[in-house]
Amino acid sequence: MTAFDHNALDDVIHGRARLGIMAFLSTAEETDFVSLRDALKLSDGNLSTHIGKLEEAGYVRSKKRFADKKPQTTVVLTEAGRKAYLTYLDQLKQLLKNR
Amino acid sequence: MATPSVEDDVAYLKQLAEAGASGVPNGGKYFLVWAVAIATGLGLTYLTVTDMVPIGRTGLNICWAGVIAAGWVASLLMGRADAAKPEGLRFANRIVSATWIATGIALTALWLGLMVSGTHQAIMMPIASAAIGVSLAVSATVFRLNWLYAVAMVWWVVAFVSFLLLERIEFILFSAAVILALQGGTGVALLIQEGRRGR
Repeated sequence: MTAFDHNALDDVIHGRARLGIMAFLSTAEETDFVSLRDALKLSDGNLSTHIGKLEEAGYVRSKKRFADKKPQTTVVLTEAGRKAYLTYLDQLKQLLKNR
Repeated sequence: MATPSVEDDVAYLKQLAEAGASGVPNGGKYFLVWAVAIATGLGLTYLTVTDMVPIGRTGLNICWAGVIAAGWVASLLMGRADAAKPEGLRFANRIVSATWIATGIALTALWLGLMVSGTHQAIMMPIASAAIGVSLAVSATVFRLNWLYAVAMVWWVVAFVSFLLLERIEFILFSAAVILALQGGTGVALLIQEGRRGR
């Protein structure tokens, strides 16, 4: 049995909120800020901070656009983000297997 | 506050992944537009073949071209507006949208081919019914709407029954009624559902 390595966990997505963002985007691919905020039950400021961290790591990309003449922010999962999320899930699976 | 267990985390991830995967139905108005357009065409067809409106085959074809073009123009205009809405971004919504556009193009191409070649156009009904059933089944699966899947199955029954009625004049009225009831009814049901969601 392989020992679970805690140090291998990706700190950027290990937090509950950021992991939640990654889980949502893993299936939605792209979504707007409001849908994401409502799904995760976070405040605007909190979500912006977490998206900023994920963007710094290159895991998501946020885009500004106008929809019905109103500004709208959308968030897209990048290929690096998808890989990081899948790796994280593999590590989680390993942890559960070793319990 | 208790620290969430691994099981809690996994349940949380699953719930969010499912939320991201689920599409948001927004197509009620398209169903209504096409129900009205096709039922209008079928009504005109009935009036022409029973000599109540003397426009002849060419006139009827022009009328059909008009209602189909009107359906497409309305759909494209509504589609442009919908593309700007948040739900249009979801992968699930993009899949459903692509499925219906492909179905629409295929059926339009088929109708055009039947018209140009002079083939009996009544054959459109069973083929269209089967194709609509497939697209509805995709929408039902993506949006997780069991009742929509039931409507898809009714369309497949209609496709089968239509072959038995092709040669009867009443078949035109039957088709119009089916379109209004199934296509229009689905449109109204979806619009009610979309209204409840507060959009």
